[in-house]
Amino acid sequence: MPLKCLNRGKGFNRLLRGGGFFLLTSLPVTALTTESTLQPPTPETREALVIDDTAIPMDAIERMHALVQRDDPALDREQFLDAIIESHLVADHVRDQGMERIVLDSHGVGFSADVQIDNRQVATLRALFSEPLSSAVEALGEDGLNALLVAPLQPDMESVAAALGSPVRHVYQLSDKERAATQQVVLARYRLPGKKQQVVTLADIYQRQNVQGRIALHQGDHTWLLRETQLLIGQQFVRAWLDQQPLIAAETIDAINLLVEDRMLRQAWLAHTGVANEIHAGNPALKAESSQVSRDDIQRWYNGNQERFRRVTAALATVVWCSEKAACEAWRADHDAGDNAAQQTDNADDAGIKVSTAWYKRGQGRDWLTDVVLMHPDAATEEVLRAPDDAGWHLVRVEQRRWHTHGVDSLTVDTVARREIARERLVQRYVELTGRLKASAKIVRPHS
Amino acid sequence: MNFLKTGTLCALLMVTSHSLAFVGATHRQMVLDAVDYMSRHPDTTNYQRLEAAANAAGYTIGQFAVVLADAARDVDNFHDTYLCGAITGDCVRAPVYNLGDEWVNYSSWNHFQNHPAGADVHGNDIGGYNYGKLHYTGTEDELAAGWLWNDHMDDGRGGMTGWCSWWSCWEDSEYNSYGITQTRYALGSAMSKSMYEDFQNMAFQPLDNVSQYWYQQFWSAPSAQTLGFVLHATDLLQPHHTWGPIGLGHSDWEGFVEDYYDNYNSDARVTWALGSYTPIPANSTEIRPLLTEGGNLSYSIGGCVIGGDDFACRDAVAQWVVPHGIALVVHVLNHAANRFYVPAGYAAY
Repeated sequence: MPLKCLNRGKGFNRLLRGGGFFLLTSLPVTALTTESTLQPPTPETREALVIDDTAIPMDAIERMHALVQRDDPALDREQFLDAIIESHLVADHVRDQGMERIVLDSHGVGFSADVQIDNRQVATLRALFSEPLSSAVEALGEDGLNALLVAPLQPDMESVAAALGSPVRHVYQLSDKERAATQQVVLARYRLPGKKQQVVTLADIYQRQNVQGRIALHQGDHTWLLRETQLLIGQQFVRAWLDQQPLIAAETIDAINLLVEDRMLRQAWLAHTGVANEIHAGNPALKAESSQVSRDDIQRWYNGNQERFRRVTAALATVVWCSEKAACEAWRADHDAGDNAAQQTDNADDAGIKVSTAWYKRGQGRDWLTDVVLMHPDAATEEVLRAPDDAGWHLVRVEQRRWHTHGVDSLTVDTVARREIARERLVQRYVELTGRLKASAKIVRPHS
Repeated sequence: MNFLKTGTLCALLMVTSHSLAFVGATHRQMVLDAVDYMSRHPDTTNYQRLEAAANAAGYTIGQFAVVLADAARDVDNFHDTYLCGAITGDCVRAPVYNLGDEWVNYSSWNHFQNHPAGADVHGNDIGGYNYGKLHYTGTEDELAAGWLWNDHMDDGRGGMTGWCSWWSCWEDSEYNSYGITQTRYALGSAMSKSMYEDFQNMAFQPLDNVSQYWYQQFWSAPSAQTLGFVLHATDLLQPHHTWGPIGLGHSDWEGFVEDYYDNYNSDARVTWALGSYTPIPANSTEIRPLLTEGGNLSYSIGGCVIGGDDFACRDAVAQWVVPHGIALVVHVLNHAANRFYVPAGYAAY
């Protein structure tokens, strides 16, 4: 059993891994509990990172860098710039192919691509400017954001229900007709400072929901509807307030939004291309690449990774069985304390503890205890383990092991090596892609 | 009417089936195969009523099966579980990852039953994912724990969902995962925020509770989609989901089943597997005992795939868990079909 990690290390995202090359992190867009202060641009902040026809002002870079450093203090500016450049180039690659919504697809149960991006952008802006934003809300008066409402927030639930149609449906989505009806249902009228009156419609709220939210709306959850409406107005307020700040250039906000979107697209692209994989999402790219691996490739990989195929085939183990978990814990405590009496446990049929030592061998049959013994990592007595069917508890201590190494022609080597080789190729392909993108881009880094 | 004879579902399956396993598309395939099995055994399953329900709703049984199957797959795409940085307060639903990484959508931590540890702090007889209670951990578990150490679950305090009087809280909440997701899945079991304060000791609710919640939703408002969400419970036949780790070959094992799924789905094996379960009593809507039987099976016979990649071991385990996954779905559908509206004349199963 591997040691449990005791080190807090958010620098993991820049670990040397795989082929041993330095991996650029994407932007961990992390919010801060403190905020950037509003300062006029200095001559330095007028400089920009230029990537092709995109200029990212230093003001945006420095604010975002400070934000990211809260999680990762060791990340210096040059590394951060490298990450920005890579993310932007990959994101533009995704945009050029019109793949944004495809790579951010959530199968209709998560938030839509647009909403995912919008939520992340607003969260980032709130993190960057949290204190002045809070002050701005306080300045609206004791009603806070409620002061933006032109009329009390009292949606007509009958109109809502009529527009949404049947509350029970086999798929919680709207038909075109229902969607049109939701556009006619006004939930709130509000006016942002310096702006004309605006409305929030049921369609606005519905399209921002994940499936759980949509079900809540169809079930007529009034509280949910109110809160989601308030949330949307609050998000609009963030963007509107930033638009009106003379000390924050519009270019800075645009760039921050772009950096957030770039980061999300780069992450999604890694998943889409199988380079980094959500474990339950499947990996068609890896599967396709695996099928291209030849026997010669497998032979070469095997020659360099033979140790990878070494297996425990049998183990001599002492197994302690207890009818109650506490009994096994007590036995372990005695054993750890060197109490030999623990070794002389009564093995009578009616005893609550039984101790036995035997060889366990890998075979075709499936046996839980054999699996436990063979996967046991070392000779130490480990944690108390619950047996299937509530048939008591076990402690296992392995005394000896016998090993076997799979041959290159085995099915095990074939299946494992194919995936490992394919994984290496996908990573290499990504590295080559970013290399090409960087080589063909016009990149002007700001002065340090 | 047997849809296979009409070719309706056959045609759909040819277009839509994609034999992947325990990854999203395998959840989907197991549901399609379960309905397919039922169509071939209308005498021993509740197929006729299920088909009548589909027709009454304006679907062919093939279309209905696809809705169920898609929903079973889509649970892995839920955006309902966000964790927040201990220092930053930033709340996200997945980690930042690197080239070659395998990672988990935080929502998927609701898809486990930790059989080696047994009961949890909530009072569930078998708890869910809890890093601090894992007996077996892999690289991915350690990386996640390192990344999330001391991080807490998003409890909505920042107001992104409006749960905090719009603005009165400092935290950048994205989704009230404690107040909505975990509270729903608790099903009345003990809950306190202290159980979700530090990732390393965070006690996620187990998958049988998740499926039970969705079954209650289905029962109160019968819907193919919510019933499909229930059927994600086939994760309990994936040994990693009952032994505990997100690492130790979790993804590669699922990839193996993806590649060889068709070897393990046979009519005879599903019939055999159906007998391993105790059917849900007709007068009950409690499906957790059935689901836990599935979890117990994968825990009993699946240990060799935890950190192991022997072909023979994987083959032996897949022979058990694939048909039992399909059979689990058949049992749930047998019971659920009685809840759908059908025209008069169809007796309950």
